[in-house]
Amino acid sequence: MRALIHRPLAILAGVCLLWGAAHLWMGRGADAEFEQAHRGEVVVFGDSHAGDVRLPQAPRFAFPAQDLVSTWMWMDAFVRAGDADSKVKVVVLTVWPSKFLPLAERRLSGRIQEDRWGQSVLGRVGPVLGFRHMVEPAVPWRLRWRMLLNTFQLRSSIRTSGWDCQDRSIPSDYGFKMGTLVQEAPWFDGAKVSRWALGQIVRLAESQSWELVLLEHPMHRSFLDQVHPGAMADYEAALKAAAEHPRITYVDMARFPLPDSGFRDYHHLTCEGSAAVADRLEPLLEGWGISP
Amino acid sequence: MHFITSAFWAFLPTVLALYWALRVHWRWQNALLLAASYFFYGWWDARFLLLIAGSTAVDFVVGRRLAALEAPRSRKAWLGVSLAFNLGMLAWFKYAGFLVEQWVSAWASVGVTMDPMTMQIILPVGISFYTFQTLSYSIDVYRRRIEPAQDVVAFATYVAFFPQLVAGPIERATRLLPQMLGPRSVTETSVRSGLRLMCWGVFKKVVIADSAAVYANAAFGEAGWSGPYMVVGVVAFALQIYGDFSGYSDIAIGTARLFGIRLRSNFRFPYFSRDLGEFWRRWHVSLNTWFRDYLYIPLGGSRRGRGRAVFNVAVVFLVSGLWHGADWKFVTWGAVHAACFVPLFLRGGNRRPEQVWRWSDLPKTLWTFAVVCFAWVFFRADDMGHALDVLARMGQGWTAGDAPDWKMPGYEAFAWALAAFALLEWAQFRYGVRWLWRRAWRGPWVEAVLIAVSLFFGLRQASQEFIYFAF
Repeated sequence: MRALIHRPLAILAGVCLLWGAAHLWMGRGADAEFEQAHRGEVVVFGDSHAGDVRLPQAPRFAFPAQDLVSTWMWMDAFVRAGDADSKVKVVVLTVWPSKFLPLAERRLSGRIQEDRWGQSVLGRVGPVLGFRHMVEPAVPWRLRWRMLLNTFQLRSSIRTSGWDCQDRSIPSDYGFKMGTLVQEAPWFDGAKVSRWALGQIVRLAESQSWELVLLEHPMHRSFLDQVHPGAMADYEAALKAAAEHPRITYVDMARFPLPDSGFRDYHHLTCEGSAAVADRLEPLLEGWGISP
Repeated sequence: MHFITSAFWAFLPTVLALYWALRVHWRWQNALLLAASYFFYGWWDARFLLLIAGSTAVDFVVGRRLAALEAPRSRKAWLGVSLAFNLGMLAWFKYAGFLVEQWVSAWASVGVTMDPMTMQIILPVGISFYTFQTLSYSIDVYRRRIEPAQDVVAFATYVAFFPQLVAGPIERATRLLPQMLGPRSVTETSVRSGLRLMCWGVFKKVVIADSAAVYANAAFGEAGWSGPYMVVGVVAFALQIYGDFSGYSDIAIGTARLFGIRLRSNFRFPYFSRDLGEFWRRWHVSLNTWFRDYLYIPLGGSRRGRGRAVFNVAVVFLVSGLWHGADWKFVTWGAVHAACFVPLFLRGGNRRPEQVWRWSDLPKTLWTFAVVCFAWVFFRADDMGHALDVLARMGQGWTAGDAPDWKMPGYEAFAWALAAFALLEWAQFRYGVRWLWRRAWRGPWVEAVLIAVSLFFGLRQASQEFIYFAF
């Protein structure tokens, strides 16, 4: 009868040991990537939008559908990997309303998303997961458990660099149907975890005296026409409030009049769209003495 | 609820703890197991608990009446009640839509159009399994092979025992019911073997079946594969269905052992078979022996001449196909097996005692696997037209040309896992199942590695429903 208790516990202990070993190994790999990134002056964090940022020399820590909690964890790991020799001056963070929408918040509550993007993101953040993240009261319990479990994906944090763009743009009759929650509900109020994570990111940047650029890409009108106007205004006000800090810059291009030829879909850009963003970003960087 | 869900892994320790806390009173253990089994089944759809309860009640009463009566006609009538209820239930939920469809298309072929009432009948999970289990009880009582159950809770637990309720192994009352009628115990060895079987089953399901499913779905889906890539897709399905179903059976058998209950083995390394006779002695053993004992032998078996024996074999294979689903593709799957099995049967090859596998048997094994894979095409395809299209595509595109994008994410890891799986399966087949339990491998690290690898794969890819839940 004792075997019914002892054996499962022994197996569980074995699984935990394996997990610990794998986590240490993956964590060291992530640290090495972050250390490399400290050799440059600009680093880009964010989601798939980071791929449209025309900064070919800058290392990029980005993954599609990356949420703000995991971005905060990556940036936190990045800070810890740095030392006095770090050359980093500017951190570019791509932001857009989707990071605060109900889908993002639902994912951050630890629920499984059918398209499994959330699952992939949890795997990507696995190597940098630390005890401090697990005891952070603002992180929902279910998300903590899922982050812990998903370290078993043994994914690397993937630092990428270089830049490429695509010319194929949306057709002139392009349309995109948003969900009713996005159209009718004041979703920004409900984005508690994302708002908290944004605050953490801002504090991290302040503590390192980095210039933090909150870079928002142009949005297609099919998105802007549908999104709840009050929620959108709250979201923009929150970013503007964050940008009141002298070292934080909000590049607000959501309503930038980009023609359809600038969009690959309602929120990804073609070469033309990327060039428009670069026209706004590059003078900023030059102002800080950085050649893009 | 199914085995690869967090709900199950919370449910199982809770039920186990309560179960062994009640070990002084085995009747209470039965009551707990019954409640847990109904909860397990009701998690999916509580309405269909009525069917299980109904089947249990009918067969419990029929069993007692069969034992009390002596007159053959009355006994036959009571057996008829059980057959009518269980097969009627199966026919309604599984075959009604198919039969209406065939009826309408038969009339349409002679120019009469009918507008049938559309029936949206949900197929209750596991109905094919538990109805066969209750039927075997009534038939065995009728044949006076077992005494009828006097304890309704024990009988209901036999019908609904949750580890094997929805996808087998299909247990016989002669084997499982006596275990429900007395105290149970576990030993260190049974706990160890149970947990190892569970972990091995999880590995087969999550690592092998779910990864192979990605390739099978691409090949049978809209990827437009042909030639060697299509063959890879069909082999992937062969791996998927084996990993899926035998994995489920292993988890079920392992789980039952933790409750002190032994279930029968359902798979014995079928893909190493040297002919179809051996394959069917190794694949889904509990169903095939069921058909042998309750269909083939009552039809006369091989006692009424060769022609009748061949007919009986064909009936068994066709009914077996139909058991899997109400579709001509399943009937064709059965027919392909029948057509390939009958020549062997006529030569008496199916009765040869099993010899030790030698490397010289490899060509026969590969040929048998190829035949089985050919039949799987009908099983996996959406319908007969799709199956024929897949077969046609297997014959095309063998000359050099543009290779499709066949490399799925994580294919290197899957290749390694597949190699390890093949090696472990072969070692168990060649040296016996106990090879996996030898002294050097007794430590919990084997299970820990299996779980860790399963987590690695399971968290990276989409999990698939167990295939046999649909039957």
